[in-house]
Amino acid sequence: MKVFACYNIKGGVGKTATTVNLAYLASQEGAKTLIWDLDPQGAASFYLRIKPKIKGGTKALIKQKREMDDFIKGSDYENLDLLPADFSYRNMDLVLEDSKKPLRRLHKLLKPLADEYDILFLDCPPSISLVSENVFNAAHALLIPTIPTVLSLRTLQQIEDFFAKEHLNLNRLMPFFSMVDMRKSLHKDIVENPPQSQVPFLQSYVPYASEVEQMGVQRAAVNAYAGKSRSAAAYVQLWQEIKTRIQID
Amino acid sequence: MTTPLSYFDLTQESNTDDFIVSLQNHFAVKENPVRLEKRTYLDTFDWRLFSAGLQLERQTGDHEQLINLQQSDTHHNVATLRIQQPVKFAWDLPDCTLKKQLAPIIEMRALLPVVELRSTLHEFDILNKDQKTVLRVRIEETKLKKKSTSATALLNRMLILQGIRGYKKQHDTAVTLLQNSLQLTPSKHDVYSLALVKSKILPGQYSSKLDVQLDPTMRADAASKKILMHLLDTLQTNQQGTMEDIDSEFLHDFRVACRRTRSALSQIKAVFPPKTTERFKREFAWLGGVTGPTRDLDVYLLTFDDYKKQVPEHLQAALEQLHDFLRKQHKLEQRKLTKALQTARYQRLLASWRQYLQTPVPTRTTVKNAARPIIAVANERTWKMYRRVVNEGEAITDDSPPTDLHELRISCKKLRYLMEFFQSLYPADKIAKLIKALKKLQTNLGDYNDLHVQMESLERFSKLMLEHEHPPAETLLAMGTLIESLDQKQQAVRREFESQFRQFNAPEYHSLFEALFKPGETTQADS
Repeated sequence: MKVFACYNIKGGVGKTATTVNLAYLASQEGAKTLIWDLDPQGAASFYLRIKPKIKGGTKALIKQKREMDDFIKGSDYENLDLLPADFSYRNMDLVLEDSKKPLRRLHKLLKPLADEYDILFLDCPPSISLVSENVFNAAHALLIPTIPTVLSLRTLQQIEDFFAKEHLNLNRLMPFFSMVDMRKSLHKDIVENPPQSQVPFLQSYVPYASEVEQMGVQRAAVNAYAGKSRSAAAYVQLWQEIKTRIQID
Repeated sequence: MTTPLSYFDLTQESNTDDFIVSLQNHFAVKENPVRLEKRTYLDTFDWRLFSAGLQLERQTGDHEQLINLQQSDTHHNVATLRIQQPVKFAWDLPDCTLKKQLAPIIEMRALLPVVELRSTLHEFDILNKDQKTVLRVRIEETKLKKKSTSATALLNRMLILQGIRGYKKQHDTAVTLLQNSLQLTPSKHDVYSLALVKSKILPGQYSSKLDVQLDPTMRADAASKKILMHLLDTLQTNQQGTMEDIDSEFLHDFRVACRRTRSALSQIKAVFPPKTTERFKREFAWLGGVTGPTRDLDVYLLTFDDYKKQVPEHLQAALEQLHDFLRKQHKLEQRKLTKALQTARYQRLLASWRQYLQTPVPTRTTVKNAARPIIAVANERTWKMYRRVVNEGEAITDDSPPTDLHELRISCKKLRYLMEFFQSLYPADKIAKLIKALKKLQTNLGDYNDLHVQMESLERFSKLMLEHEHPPAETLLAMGTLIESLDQKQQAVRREFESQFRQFNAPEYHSLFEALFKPGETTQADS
């Protein structure tokens, strides 16, 4: 099972849209796919029309009081399931701290899912916390949607610094530009001349487009209701590039 | 894992509208337009999916097909894939769950249509207040398409409640509503099983395993005819697939049947008149000869991915030229093979052989072993061959030439065939144990020989390619590297021989061979 985490310290950069749209594409290719909506705001759950509710809350899940299986819900799409969000996830750090090997707890929880799923997407809450450190340890790749602005590039640098400090593998970081508006000269400048750092940006980027914003109204994946749109094509291209980078077909 | 699913049979009288109305009292119901679906169930020629408890269904639409792999007993979905291009082999699939599940089961076998169905589907999505689908209701009327005509016959009408994972409550509510409004009973049969029965297809009919039931007191000539008839049937069953090159296993099974026939003719000695034996031995040797080159090329093509892995990464692309060459050669040889199986000589061979095997054995005979009980001949021949294997094996040292291993390999093969021909005469667990031990030794000897043949062929191919194809230097270099890698493998296999033979030659197996086969001992090992 390949684990992808969609992550950024900053909020509102298109994490959930990326998670849902890429997971949808993976499931359409025949991969058994699961999304874990780790964000207490529950946006991925909302997009998939699934109640953001975990029976027994974070504790039941992290302390394995029930089988993981009991929490999983089928989406309206073939091959795509969801482990929903729960408002109590906001306290996940506390529950993690209280468990054995708090940094690798999520990694351990994910193990039994590997029998059933080929691909897991973690939709992560913004911020650097114990949850995100767990995610860093569990994911094969960290997809980092980045808006081409100065402040966004700064947060990306913060992630890179954190990885370097903790001796984590920088190759797992896959930043890409998100919500790109080419009419803005700053966006155009940054996308065309991305900063030269240790971690290269993916070639594909996702444009700023109304059909992505529509996801909240449609409550579906972009490629499901606007398959011919520019954004849909962008997600297809992004997914292809990610697969090549991590070598899955 | 836990996706609720229920099937119900509908009769002509069942009024499903009532049920839908009762559902509408509890949920929002979205009715989908009625659609027609072409459904084909697929399996390999030797029923590998059926034997593994699986059903593979292909739904064909206008532009794409949906492939579903289900468990036969629970109907739980194992894998689903939407795909545009046709799929015949596991390697036609992109890397996905379906491929991961199918590939180890079907291996090199082609997926062939078993039955074709036409379904009229009336589907309803049951939605909760978030407009999320929590259950799917499917009313389907399925017809069986008759082979080679467009005629169809009604198979059944069914109502299916297809739950969604994590929404069991809604599924269970629907089951209760259904039972209240229609008094239906859960269905016992799925459409595939019904279609198989209606088409009079018996799944699992074909297996390449040799299974001939013999009576120990049977006359040796009659028993031999029974074994040989079984082999002839297997050969003919695989003939069409061999000629059409549906997949490589048809030819493989065809050749195994041919080789076993030759082995039976020469190893079950003096049961038929010498002239007859000689004639058919000669003809089946010819058949083995004309089918050989295609099989060799099949093997190279099947192991090609493995070859690729044995050369350094930068040379792997250069091997493509060899791949193309092999494919071209295969096409050529396959054409020759198909022609050979259309000749009068082949037709005559099969017809006269069948006629000979069908003719009852003569009451009086002067052929030495013909009228003896089969158990006596079986014991004698198997014991003798076992002694030969032991003697030849014991004589092999680290310095023995490859020809000695070759001889031993041939003797092992003869012994194996004898044991398989006669296995019904001996206690099943004991003979199975001995066959398993022998098989292990044979793997070592077979690998040694295969690697030798492969290296020789690669050298031959490189010369042929040089003459006709002007291959780039990298291709020849890659082939050289490959030969070197195969050579190292062969040496490793050779080093393994001693311990492999020692394991086979253990006292435990020896006494079992003695108890089962040694003439003059008890004829029935377990009595």
